[in-house]
Amino acid sequence: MNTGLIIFFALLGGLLLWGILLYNQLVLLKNNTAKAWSNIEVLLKQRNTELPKLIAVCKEHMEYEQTTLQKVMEARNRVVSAMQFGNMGALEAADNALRIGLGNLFAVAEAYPELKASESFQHLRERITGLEDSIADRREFYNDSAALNNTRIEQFPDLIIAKSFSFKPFRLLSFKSEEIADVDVAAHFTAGT
Amino acid sequence: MWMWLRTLLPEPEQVAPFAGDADGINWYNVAQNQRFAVLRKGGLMNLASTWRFALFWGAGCFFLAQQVGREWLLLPALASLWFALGLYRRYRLIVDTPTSRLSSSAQGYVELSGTAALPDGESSRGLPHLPVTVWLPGYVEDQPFLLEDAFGRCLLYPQAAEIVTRTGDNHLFLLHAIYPGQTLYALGELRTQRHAHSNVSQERRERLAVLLADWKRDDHTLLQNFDADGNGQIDPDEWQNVLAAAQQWVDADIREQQRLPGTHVMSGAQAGQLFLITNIPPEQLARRYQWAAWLHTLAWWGLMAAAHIR
Repeated sequence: MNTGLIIFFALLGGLLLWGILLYNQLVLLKNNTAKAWSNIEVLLKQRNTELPKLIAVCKEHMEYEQTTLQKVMEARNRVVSAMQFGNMGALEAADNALRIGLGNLFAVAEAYPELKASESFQHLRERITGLEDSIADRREFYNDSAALNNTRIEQFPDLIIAKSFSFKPFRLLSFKSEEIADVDVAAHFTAGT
Repeated sequence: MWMWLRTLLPEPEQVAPFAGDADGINWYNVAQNQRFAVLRKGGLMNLASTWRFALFWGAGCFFLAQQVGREWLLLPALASLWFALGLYRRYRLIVDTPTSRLSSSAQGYVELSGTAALPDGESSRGLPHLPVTVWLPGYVEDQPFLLEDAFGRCLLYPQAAEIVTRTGDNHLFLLHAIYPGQTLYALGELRTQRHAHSNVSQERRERLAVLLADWKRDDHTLLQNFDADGNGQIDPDEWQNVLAAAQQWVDADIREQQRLPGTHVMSGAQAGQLFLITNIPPEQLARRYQWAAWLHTLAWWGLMAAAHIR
């Protein structure tokens, strides 16, 4: 075999290796994003488990606030249902409604000194605040992962591989600024302590 | 393959701490241990990304073409392709991996950035008469150390890590080391070991049984606290109070444990992914890898063309 032919095959082999490397990187980005989403899901499930306990504690003391409690539970059920069907749009809306509902619930709880003094209520309040903060951080992490994935599959030469193997962009989780302002749960907590 | 190659490198020679020069250190041993350890822990890819390596690589190829024959340049050309792919992969991993905050500790393959610190209860590490280090190649290579950010700490187990350090962080300008307080960047699989929430009811029952057995052993204290009518024994009604108190104690303890933050650990990466620890700013290291990857790609093309010229 002459040198020219060896060089031709070496170039071909090199290009093939580059292609494999790019493909593997796109797979890694896709898996990273999927994992970032499951990171949020774990916390959403934890919060969904804690919420009925919180509502049960509140029900004992809040006789005249049944509508507020009902709204929180309805939003929580919508979150659970959206998670089951993997509906990101519905999940965003339900999560916003839940955060608003929780904000209202903790604001109302200020008027019930016995409830505020309850150890179970305080513990659940702390747990849910912690979970809310972590969900916010992990949502940012998910958005970073998704943005990196989405940028790569639109860039040249990665888009050739992405189009050939049908890599899809991920939806970013966006929250309107007024919604964030409305549901400052942490502020309610600090006001209560 | 590199994991196998690195096992061939010599292990560090043990230094008797106070047998050497006037300051108690055998500097020749230190230099020798550092030389091999930096290669063993940092890997060949990091060596291939330095300017010194480029000079050595150019001179080696020139020697090969002059003394052995131009067609043999295909071998370093393929090696350059291998370096280019490896370095490009590292560059992309640094640039494409999202940063996890330790407050929420997203699990999985993540990057962390913070400062280096010694684990609790350890105040010095390294060689005597040298500044305290958290990692010193050739001496303290496998002991875990901490990466701290504003919200948490993560224990790094560097045994399987590729560690890239810069020199010149103190007056010992050739020493490769990581010092406490230095900015640290880690890329790898993060997992958090947490108090299990899943089986709280079973754990509660078990702990209650243990606690009650413990209280029963100490009759005197039990009677002192719960024998309300003073008849010298615990009646059924009084036993209900004992149960309630024990339940309250266990519940409070479980709640306290649940409040404790989990322990974050990074000890490797799955399926051949890179586990990297460095005290070089990640942007700088990524740029270095990017440039080195392009230079090796050019070298690949150049060497193949040179091999073809008659």
